[in-house]
Amino acid sequence: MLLERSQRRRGVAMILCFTLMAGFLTYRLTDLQLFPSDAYVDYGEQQRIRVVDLPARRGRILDRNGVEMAMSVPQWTIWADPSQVINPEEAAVALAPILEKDELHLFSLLTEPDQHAYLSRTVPDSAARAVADLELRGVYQVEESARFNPSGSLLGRSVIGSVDIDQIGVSGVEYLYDGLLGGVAGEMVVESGHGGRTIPGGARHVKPAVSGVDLMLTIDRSLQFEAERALMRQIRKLQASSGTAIIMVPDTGEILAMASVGRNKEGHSVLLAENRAVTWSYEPGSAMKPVVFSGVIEEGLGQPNHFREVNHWLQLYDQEFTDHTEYGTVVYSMEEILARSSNTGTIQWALTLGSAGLAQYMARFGLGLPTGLGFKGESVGLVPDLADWSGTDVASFALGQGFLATPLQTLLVYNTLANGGVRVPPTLGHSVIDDDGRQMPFQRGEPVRVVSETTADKLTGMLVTVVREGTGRNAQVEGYSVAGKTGTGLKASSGGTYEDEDGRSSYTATFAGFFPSEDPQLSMIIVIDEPQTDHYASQAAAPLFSELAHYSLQRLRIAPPPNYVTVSTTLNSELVQ
Amino acid sequence: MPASASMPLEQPKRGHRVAPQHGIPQSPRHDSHLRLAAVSTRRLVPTLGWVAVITAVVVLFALATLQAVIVDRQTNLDNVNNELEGVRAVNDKLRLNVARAEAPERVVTVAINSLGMVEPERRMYLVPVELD
Repeated sequence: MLLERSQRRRGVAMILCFTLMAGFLTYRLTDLQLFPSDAYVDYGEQQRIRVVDLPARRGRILDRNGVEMAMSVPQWTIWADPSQVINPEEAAVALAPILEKDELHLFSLLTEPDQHAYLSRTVPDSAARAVADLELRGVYQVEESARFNPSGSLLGRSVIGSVDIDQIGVSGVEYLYDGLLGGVAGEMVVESGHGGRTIPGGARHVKPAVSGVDLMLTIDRSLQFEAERALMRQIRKLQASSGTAIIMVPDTGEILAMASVGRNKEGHSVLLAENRAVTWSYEPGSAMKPVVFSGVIEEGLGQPNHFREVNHWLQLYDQEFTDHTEYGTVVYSMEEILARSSNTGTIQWALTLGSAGLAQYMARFGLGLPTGLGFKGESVGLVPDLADWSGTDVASFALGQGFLATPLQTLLVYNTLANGGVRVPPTLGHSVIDDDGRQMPFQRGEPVRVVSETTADKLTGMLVTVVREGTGRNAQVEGYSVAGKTGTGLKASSGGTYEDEDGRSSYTATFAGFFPSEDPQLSMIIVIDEPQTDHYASQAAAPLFSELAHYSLQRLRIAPPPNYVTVSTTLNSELVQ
Repeated sequence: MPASASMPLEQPKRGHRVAPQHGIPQSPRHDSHLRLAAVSTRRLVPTLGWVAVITAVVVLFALATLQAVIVDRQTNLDNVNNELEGVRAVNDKLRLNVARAEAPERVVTVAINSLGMVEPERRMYLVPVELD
């Protein structure tokens, strides 16, 4: 009897317990479902709502013919969650040869306290497959874009520039047009379930990514390649420290090629990442003499056929100026002075123009001013204010000494003369191509008239004489008329003088010009820095100018003018053989 | 023989069951003693209930089917998007390979190293000759 009563009590107690538990669960369930707290709603959303980054495709960089010079391609990035890696040591040993990384370095990454460590970013597909085959726990892969220069990693590197690991332009065109190339990243907010699958009809918000546009440059890949190769050969031959070559279309300001060659730590000539055509400024020497004569003719102070008595030696205040050969006193026309590159003759005409006049024309030709290219690290050169000029500065500046200009600024002087006296801002951007394939040309800078067309024509004639009969004969191009000028500039030493402690001088050799002179289609400048075997521009720079001019004319199919046809018998006989 | 056809109808007595009338009722104008009997709601409610239940089941089934179709389509859409991205990536890589193959540096290297070509010591350019 007592036993039955005890069992009944227990049964009642158990039923009571279960009823209470069921009641509590029912209450809790009702409370959660009908009166959810914000905290739980947030917690649930955190589990379901997924924000997916939609990276913007970085636009391609194309040459003027549509050939890819830089493009982005998806690659695999290998990362690890160190907290999930079972045996970091074994994993490091297995990954090291595939990722081409140091084992110790990988081991340190795999034992980091964080839950995310990049092991190697943007690896090739083969490496990604090899890592996947290892089936290492805690080692994952994610797709990321990598930038490639398919035309050659070094071709035009000083112009194209580079991007960082996050595809942001840091130098060159990549930096200059980063806003156009980069596009705008988007994002997508979706509700996802097990395995990351999208829940249909769930919350969804999409902000689409805007792809970067494709950028077509004015650069011609073949010309760029040839300019770099030829410049490299010349630097080796002359044992020079560096060199620069620029090829342009004078009337549009389009840059077709821009090469920079220097030497690495081992002393080998290499293509530089630095675009010295715009970042390096130097004393251009006699290549600046046309500025003096442009001013003289424009101001009506002289004409190309006006004669002057010239001596190879001239003293101005406490400074002596000489020509490179002794010839006593002679009578030279202005044209002859330029053709012979007479320093003393040029100084006399500069004195006629005066300091103010020379300063004015230097500024009008763009010396000491931004070119408008906007390249990162571009130098504007250095031209002292007129108020700071000493008595001899007018003479020094007339000879291209005492002030600094970049190779591009120097070439723009010749472009101006080729354009009939109009200065056109240089450009590297040809057009942009959007996702729909629409091509939109770049807006050109405003041209500026520097001298009259008459003056420019007279200067062109004088520069043709320089190449035909003067110091620029090595720049001649068979079948074409070339206008140009040599410039052998002295380099200032660290002590501020033009000689080092041992009394030796360093030089820069420049040849700048345009062709065909009757209807200029191309302009070009060659600058060789510190040539050792032959420092004269006529020997160091002019031959390379001729070589590249030949190639450019052939490459761009520029026919010689009908009234200027000459064929050398040597060439014909060689061809017959 | 139906009663309504040959015999006059009598008022049904309480407790007597009335046989259902078939055919078209005659106009009350001619047979004023006849009246329309109301249909019993007790019979209608179960029928409507069954219809409602069946309709609800069908609707729920349709909704479930629709949901399944939507899920299936969403999965397909996700797969197609993934496939599209994959194909785009392959296309980009192929384009990269083409550009690399056409690179001047590679062309020169192949010409010299693989095809045995040599660079000329001097280049000769053809210049047009004036014709008579």
